[in-house]
Amino acid sequence: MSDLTRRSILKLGSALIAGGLSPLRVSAQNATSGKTFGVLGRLDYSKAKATPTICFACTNHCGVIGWVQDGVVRKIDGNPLDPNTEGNLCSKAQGMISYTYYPERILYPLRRVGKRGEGKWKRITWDEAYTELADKMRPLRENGTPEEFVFHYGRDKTKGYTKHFTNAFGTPHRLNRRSICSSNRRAPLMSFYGREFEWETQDLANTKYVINWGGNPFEAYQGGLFMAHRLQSARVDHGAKLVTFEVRPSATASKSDEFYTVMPGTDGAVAFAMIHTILKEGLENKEFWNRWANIPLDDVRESVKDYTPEWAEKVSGVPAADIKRIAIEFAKAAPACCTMSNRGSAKHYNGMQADRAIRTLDVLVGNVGKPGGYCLSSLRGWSGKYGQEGLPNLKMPEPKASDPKPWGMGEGFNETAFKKLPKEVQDRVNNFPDKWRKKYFGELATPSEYPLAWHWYQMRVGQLVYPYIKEGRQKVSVYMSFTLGAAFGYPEANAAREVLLDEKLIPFHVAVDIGYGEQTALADMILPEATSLERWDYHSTNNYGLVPYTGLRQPLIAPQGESKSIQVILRELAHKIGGGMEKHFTYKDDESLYKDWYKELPISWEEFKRRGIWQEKDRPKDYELYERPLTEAELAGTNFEAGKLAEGALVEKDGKAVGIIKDGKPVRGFPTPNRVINVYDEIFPEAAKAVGLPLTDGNASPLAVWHEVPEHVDLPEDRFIFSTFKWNVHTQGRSGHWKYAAEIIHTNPVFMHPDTGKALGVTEGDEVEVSVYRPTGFTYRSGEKGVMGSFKNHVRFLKGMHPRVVMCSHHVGHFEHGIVGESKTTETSPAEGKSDKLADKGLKDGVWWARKRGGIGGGVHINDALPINPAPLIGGQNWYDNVCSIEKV
Amino acid sequence: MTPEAAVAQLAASLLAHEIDASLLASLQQPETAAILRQIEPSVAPLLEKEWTPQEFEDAAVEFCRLFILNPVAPARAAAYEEKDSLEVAGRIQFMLDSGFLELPERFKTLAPDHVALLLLVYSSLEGDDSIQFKSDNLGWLPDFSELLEEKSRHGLYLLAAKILKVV
Repeated sequence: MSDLTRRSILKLGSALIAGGLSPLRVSAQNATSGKTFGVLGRLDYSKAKATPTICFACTNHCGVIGWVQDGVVRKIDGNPLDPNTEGNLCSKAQGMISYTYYPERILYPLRRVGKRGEGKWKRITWDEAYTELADKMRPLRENGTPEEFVFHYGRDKTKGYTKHFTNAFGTPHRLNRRSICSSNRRAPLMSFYGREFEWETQDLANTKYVINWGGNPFEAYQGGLFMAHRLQSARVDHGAKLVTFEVRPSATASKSDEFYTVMPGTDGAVAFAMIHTILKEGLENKEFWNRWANIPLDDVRESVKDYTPEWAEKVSGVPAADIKRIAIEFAKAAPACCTMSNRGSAKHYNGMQADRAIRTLDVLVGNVGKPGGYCLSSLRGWSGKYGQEGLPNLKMPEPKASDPKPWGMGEGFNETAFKKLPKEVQDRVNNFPDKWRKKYFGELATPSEYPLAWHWYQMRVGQLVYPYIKEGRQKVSVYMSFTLGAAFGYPEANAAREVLLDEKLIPFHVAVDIGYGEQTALADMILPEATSLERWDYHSTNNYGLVPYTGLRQPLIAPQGESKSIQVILRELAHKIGGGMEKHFTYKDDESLYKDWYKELPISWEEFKRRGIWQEKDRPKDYELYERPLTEAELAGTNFEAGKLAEGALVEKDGKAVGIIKDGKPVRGFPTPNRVINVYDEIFPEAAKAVGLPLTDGNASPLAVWHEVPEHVDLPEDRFIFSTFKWNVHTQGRSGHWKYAAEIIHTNPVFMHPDTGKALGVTEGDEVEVSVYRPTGFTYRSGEKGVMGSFKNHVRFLKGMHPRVVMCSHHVGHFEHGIVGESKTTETSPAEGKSDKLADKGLKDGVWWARKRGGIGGGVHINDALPINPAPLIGGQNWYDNVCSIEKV
Repeated sequence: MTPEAAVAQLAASLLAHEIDASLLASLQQPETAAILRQIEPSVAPLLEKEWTPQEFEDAAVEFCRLFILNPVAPARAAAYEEKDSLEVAGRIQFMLDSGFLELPERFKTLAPDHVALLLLVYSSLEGDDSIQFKSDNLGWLPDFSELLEEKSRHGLYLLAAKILKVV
C-alpha cells in the first residue's frame, strides 16, 4: 500500500464511526488544556515528592529517597537517616528506576504456547494464572506430597514471607543460592561465634589497622557501601592502614596502603604465618584468649609451629618480611584492628580453613567486640535472642504456619518421602547422629553429602539442585523460581538449562521475575513481579555504626502494568489453593501487614513512613555483647544460683546454655553451645566421618590447618588459575537490563598480566580460548579427565595481576535477556545505513557497543565452562579454584 | 469524534491489547473492511471470515512477540526516546492521576509511556494542542511504525504500522 493518504484516513475514520467504533473517552472539561502537558515532566524539586524507601539493587539494601513527580520516580538519593550508608549512595540505586520503567520489563502474566524454551508466549489473566497453578499445586498438598513443590529463589528479602508460604504449603523446598555466594565464609563464623553470627560487623570508623584477604568493599561486597566510607574516613582522618591480599588490583586493592598479589587459594598460608609470628613475638592477648577461646593457646602454638613466614612466602608469593611486619603491626594496633575476608579467601577447596585461620587472628589479638575491632552486632532479625536488650519485638504478624516435618526421624517424621530416596542416601542419613537426622529434609534442602550446609541453618547447596533432580534424588512436580538466574549464573549453567528444559524432570515451571532472562525463558508460566520502588518489605541488617536500626521499604508508585509484589502473589495463590492455606494469609493488603509488623515501634506508622528508618541513636554500641550480664529475665528458670556455679560453668535453661560464669558472675558469652569462641570445633571431623571424607583431608580438621587446593598441587607451567570478579556497577547477572550500567560495563575480557601474555604469545585484543578442567579432591565429578568446558574471549593486560591467574567478570554475555543484556541492535541502526535518526538515543538503537554497530559486543557467557565444585562438607562453590589452559585463537 | 481521532483510536486499540471478537467485528464492518484491504491487502482473508480460537491465539502470540515479552517492536517511548521517556510517562501519569483520561478497562494496566495511551490523548486534542502533543510525545512514532512493519508477521499489525505512518 503506497497511497495511504489523509483522504483514505478520513475515509477510514468515517467508516469506523459509521460502523459503530466505540470511542475511547477523554474528559471533556480538561480537553483544552493540552498545551500545559508539554511542560510537565521535567524534574522540579519544588513539586516532586520525596519518599524514603530501601534500595534493592544489590544485597546491601541501602536507605534511599525517591523523588516522584507526576506519578513517576525521577531520581534516587541517599537517605541520611540510614545509619549504615549515612546518606551515601552507589550507582546501582539508579538501576531501580531503569528497571521500573524498562520498556522490556515483564508487566503481565504469561503462558507458554509452544514447546518449552521455544519462546512462544501469550498473555493470560491473573485469575487464569492462579487457577492453573493452584490446580497443579493443590493435589500435591492434598495427596501428602507437598515436597514435590519446589520454591527456588535468587534474592529474597521478604524476611520470612516466602518461608511462610512454603511452610503453609508443607514443603521444605525453599531453596536458595547461598552456596553460590558465601556459605564457605559463613560456616567458619558460625562455628566460631554461633549461628547468630554468620556475618561480622567490623568497627571500621574507629579502626587503626585492617588486613583484607580478598574482600572488595569498595566495589562489590555485602555491606561494602557501609564499609567503604568508614574505612576511607578512618584512613584519611585517623591514619588507619589498609593492607590487602588479592590476585588482582581490585578497587579496594588499588586504594589500599599496601597490596600484595597472592597465589589463589593461599590466603590461609599468609594468615597462618601471621598467627605464627604474633605468637613468636609474644604479641598475643593472653587474657582475652584464655577467657574466651575454647582451646589452650599452646595448642595453637603447636599447630602453627611450621607455618613460618618463609614457608608462607614459598606457598603464597608474599615476601616473608612483609608477612612478619604486617603481623606485628596488626597485633600492636590491637584492639583497634580487624581482619576482613570474603570470597577471595573463602571460595576455595581450602577456603573454610583459610577463613578459620583469619578468624583466629582476631581472637589472638583480642580485638573481638572492641572499639575499632572485629565486632559482632546485635541480631539482625530483632528476635531478641542475642544482642541489645529492650529493642522492639518486630515479628511477622500473619498466623504462623508450622515447619514441615523432618524426613529422617522425629515425631511424625515424613517417612514416605524418606523412603523414596535412593538407598545410598537413606543409609547415609540413618547413620547420621540424631541432631542431623532431626534436621534432614531430603537432598535438595539438606544434601546428605554436605551436612555443614545445614548444620547451623539451611544454607543448602544450590548448584547441585539440578544434578540431583536429574539423578532422581527428588521428584519435582511444580517448580517456582523467584528472581533466580541459575540458567545463566550457576556453574555448569548448561546443566541447569538441560534440566529446566526437560518436562519429565520438571513438569511445570513458573517463574516470578521482573525481567526476561535465561531462567524465565525456560518457564511454562511467568508472573510479573513489582520492583522495589513498588512494594513493601520489612528491613533490618547489621549496622556498621553498631547501633541497631530498622528500615521500611515502601512503594513510591503503584506497580507498573499488572505486576504484583511477591507477597501479594503468594497470598492470592494461597487463597486459590485453599485447603487451609488461606488461614495463614489474613491481610488484605501489604500496608496493613507491615503496619502490624512494626506496631511495637515507639513512633507512629506515619512517622516511620516519613523517615523510612528507625533507630534509637543514643543506645550504646554493640561492643563486647558477650560480656553483658544476664538480665533477671534471662536468668529466670536457669540453673543459676549466686555463688553456686564454678568459673566457666554454663548457665542453662531447659538443657540449653544461655550464659557462662565469668569472674563469678553470669554473663551472656557468645551464642555458641558452650558460650565461648570455638577456635577448635569437632563438628568438622564429625561431618567428615559422616560423609566418608578422609580425616587426612584438611577440611576434616577440628583446628584450622593449612592444606593446598588439590588441583593446584604441582600445577604445570602451561596451566593457569581461572578466576572471576564483580564490577561495581553490576549485580551478578541481574543487572543486565539496566542500560546505563551496561553502558559502563558490557564486556568481560580475559584479564592477564602482560608477562603472562608474553609467555603465551598473545597481545592485547587477541582472542584466546580458555579451557577449564574439572577439579580433584573430594567434590562433584572429581578428577574426570579432559576439558570440562571452554570459551573464547579477547585479552586485556593488567599490571598487578598474579601471573598465574587469568580472570573475567561474570555479569555479561547474556543470551536470553533482551536488547541491552544481549547487546543487540536493530537492523535500522546507522551501521546498517538505513537510518540516522536514532543514534545513541533510544534503547533499540542506542546499544552502541553492539557488534552490529561496530562495537565490542556484549561479552562472553563463561558459566557453562565453570565446573560445579562444592567445597567438602559445606558445599560452597569453589569459584576460584578452576585450572585452565589458554590458547591463542 | 473526528475521523482522524477514530483512526488514532483504532491504532490505539490494536496496540493496547490482543485482537478480540469485539475489535475484530468492528474491523469486519463492510465499509471499514474495504478500506482496510486497500491499505494492507494481506488483511483481506482475515476480515472475511469468523476466526477460530486458534487464530485468535496465533494473533495473541504474535502480539506477545511484538510488544510484550522480549518485544521485537516495543510499543513504549522508553525504547526510542530513552532520555525523555520519563517525562513522557510523567505527562501521561499526570493526566491519569488528574482525571483527564478515563481509560477503557484494557488500557488501565499499560505503562504510562505506551503508544496506545499517547494515541488516545492525541486523539482527544485538536489544532495546536494536537501538534504540540505530538511533537512533545510522539516523535518516535515513525521509528516504531517502521520497526513494526518490518517485524510483524500478522496482517493486522502490518496494517497498524501503516496507519501509524499517517497518524
